[in-house]
Amino acid sequence: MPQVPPQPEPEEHLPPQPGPDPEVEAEPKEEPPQAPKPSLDGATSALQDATLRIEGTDEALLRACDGTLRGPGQLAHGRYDLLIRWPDGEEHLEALELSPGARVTVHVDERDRSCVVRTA
Amino acid sequence: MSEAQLAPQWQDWIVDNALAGVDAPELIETLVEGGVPEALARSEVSAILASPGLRAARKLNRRVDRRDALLGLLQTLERGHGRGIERVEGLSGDEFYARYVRHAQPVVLTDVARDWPAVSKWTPEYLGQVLGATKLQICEGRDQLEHPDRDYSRCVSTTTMAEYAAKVRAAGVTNDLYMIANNRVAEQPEFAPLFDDVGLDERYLTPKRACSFWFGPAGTRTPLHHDSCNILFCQLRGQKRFRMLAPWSARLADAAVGYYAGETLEQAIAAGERGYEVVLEPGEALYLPGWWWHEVLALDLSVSLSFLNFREPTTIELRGADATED
Repeated sequence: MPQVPPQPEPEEHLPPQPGPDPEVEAEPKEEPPQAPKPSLDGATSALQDATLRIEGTDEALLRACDGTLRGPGQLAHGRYDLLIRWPDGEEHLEALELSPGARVTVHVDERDRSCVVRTA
Repeated sequence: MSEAQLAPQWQDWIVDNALAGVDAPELIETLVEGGVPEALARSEVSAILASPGLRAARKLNRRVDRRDALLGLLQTLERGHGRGIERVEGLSGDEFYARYVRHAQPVVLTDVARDWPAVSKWTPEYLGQVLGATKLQICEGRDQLEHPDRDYSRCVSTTTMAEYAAKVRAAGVTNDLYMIANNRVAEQPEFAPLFDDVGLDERYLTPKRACSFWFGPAGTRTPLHHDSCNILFCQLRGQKRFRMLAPWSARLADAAVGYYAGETLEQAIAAGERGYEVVLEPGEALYLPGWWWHEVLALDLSVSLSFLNFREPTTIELRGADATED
């Protein structure tokens, strides 16, 4: 008998996505949003992992010592370089150490070119 | 007075959501909640659900879903192997093809160009002397453009290598000035003597050379993009930083504009992609498999050659309209 793994929620159960205002022979105000797709990333969780949130920019990433680049979210504890790209393309580097189980938030202010790291 | 019609974007919305599995009553309900007259909502939904276009789209959607699942599998496997980007020396040709090329796995080869005379000789002054009168197309004013690489034709001009080398020397750190990509300078007869300074690594490459020449100031940045063939990128002067993403992301592929990503590398990583960074030193080479996304930054004044003449070539070109968007 073939093995049947657990199935993800079928997209058929998704509610319809909201659309733009209806118009009569006129251009709508905005594009309708797309239905989300399920993620196939089988990320594992561990008690030792830290959780990192970055606020104020989507132009930031973390570089681990092996050169792997990650985004915010659940990360193995350890040392990282926090790399922020300012709007003019200049890059900012800040050392960041995530301790086991830490919940860290980085607040970035692109106008002041500043970032504040807070650990809960 | 004209008869009420549903705006085209609402029609697209019906198609998108029908393809996502939403049934007719829910579609009609949402349309009505959005202010569409019920009779119009019913007739439009009915017409679209019965249309041959939607039937064809459903078939295509099933094929795309299956390919997305396969890409997801590849992405999971790639994230799980944990190899990162290795730096290796003394790799035989057989090992190179078995461990890296046939697995579409980048690798830094630290000894490919280490002993080439070009590593010490190819200064801007030397290039300006040897190739002085060689015609060259360059881009100046890249900083004025939102997409300087995609829209390179808006700032292109012709100069000589002597003039360009002088500009690069004087430029300092900038992304405003660069040679155009695919410049074919290395194919010009004037370039031939320079290949006396370049070795041929027969472990990896065939004698029939196919290569591109890259020379520009520190600060030159090529945005996130992919190529359609494998590349051996040899760094000859200065450091160059590569940031890469594996090609298995359906989300990135869907948002691509021709060969360019529809977002920055930071945005892609924030959205969950995993990236890799390597800094190439002079004398090192990066094997970059085709379709790997990469963003390149010159950390110093930089001179490089990229080779395409692999013993086992792999080229997968984009087909159709997407290939011509840029």
